[in-house]
Amino acid sequence: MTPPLVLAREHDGRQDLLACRDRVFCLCLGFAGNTADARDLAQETFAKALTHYEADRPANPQAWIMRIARNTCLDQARRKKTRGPQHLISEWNAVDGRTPEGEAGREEEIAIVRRAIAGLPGRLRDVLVMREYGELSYQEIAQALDIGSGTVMSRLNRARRAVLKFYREEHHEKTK
Amino acid sequence: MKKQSDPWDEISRLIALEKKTALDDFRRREFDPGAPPARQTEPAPESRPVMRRTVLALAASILFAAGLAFLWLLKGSWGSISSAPALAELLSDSYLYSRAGSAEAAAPAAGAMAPVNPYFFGWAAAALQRPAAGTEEAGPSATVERGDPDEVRRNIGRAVRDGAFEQFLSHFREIQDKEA
Repeated sequence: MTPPLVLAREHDGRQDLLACRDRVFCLCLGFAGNTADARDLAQETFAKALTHYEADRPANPQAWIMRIARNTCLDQARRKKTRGPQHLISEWNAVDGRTPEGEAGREEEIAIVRRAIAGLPGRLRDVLVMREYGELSYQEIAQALDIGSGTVMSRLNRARRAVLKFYREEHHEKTK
Repeated sequence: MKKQSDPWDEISRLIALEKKTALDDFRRREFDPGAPPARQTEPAPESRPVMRRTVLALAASILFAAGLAFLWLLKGSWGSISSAPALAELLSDSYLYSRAGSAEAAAPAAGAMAPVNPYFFGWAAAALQRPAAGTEEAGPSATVERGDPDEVRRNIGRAVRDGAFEQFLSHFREIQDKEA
């Protein structure tokens, strides 16, 4: 019979994992670029995490599951090309009920940001997506990627500059 | 840094908007963390057969190259490697070949005429009812003994030109008709 203490600890660990459900989904959204893929990836991430939780017993469950989510996203990206942000517009309208005329400019801007992030080198994109979509701290990103906090900051800075540059250029092209 | 923070705020706002929209959609639907994904991703393209074919082709190439190298080392050079054993080697144990006296006699060269059968020429000369001039002195039996193959060949050529064979065939048919 399983001791109550173990059950409680297991329950706590799973609860910790489930608590970051939205963050895992957002991280998957950052990597996948569309809601449908992000949902599947989040589900796959949790399936893996819950399967291996007992064996791994992570000290920081949130950083651990974020790493699983990132690896799952990268595996999926390798397996196939993601559908990209083309579903964003329909989802946007379906959720908020906004008119296409009123939100077209905003959607276009979001699409530019998505393209900028998708065009980043992998090591910069990982850090940026974890920070902006997963809302992880520098320390958590460093832990998830096995790099130093200084490296996280410098990569994040470079990634942001690259995205900004792309965004400005694209925006300038659109408003010409 | 301050200079970059303002434009990045705009990007952050856009990202936050995208996340909010997606999260609203995500929360509206039921999410079971333990269940496998509802819409399975497409299976990875089968790379094993391709890999297997590539590896097999590579292995075959290496083996072929190794075989060639081994052969070259064994023979010393390409020139001494014959593609097939000589005909004389193959026929050296043959009874007929040894009776022929030489390899050339046993293996007729291309274009050369077949060995002359004296009986055939004797028979041919006898069959020709009107042999050409110069062949009369060589009777049917004499050609067997003293027939000159070149002369006989010339006579046959002349007989062909004169239509002697056609005459012979018609004569032969008449004999057959009579016998019938």
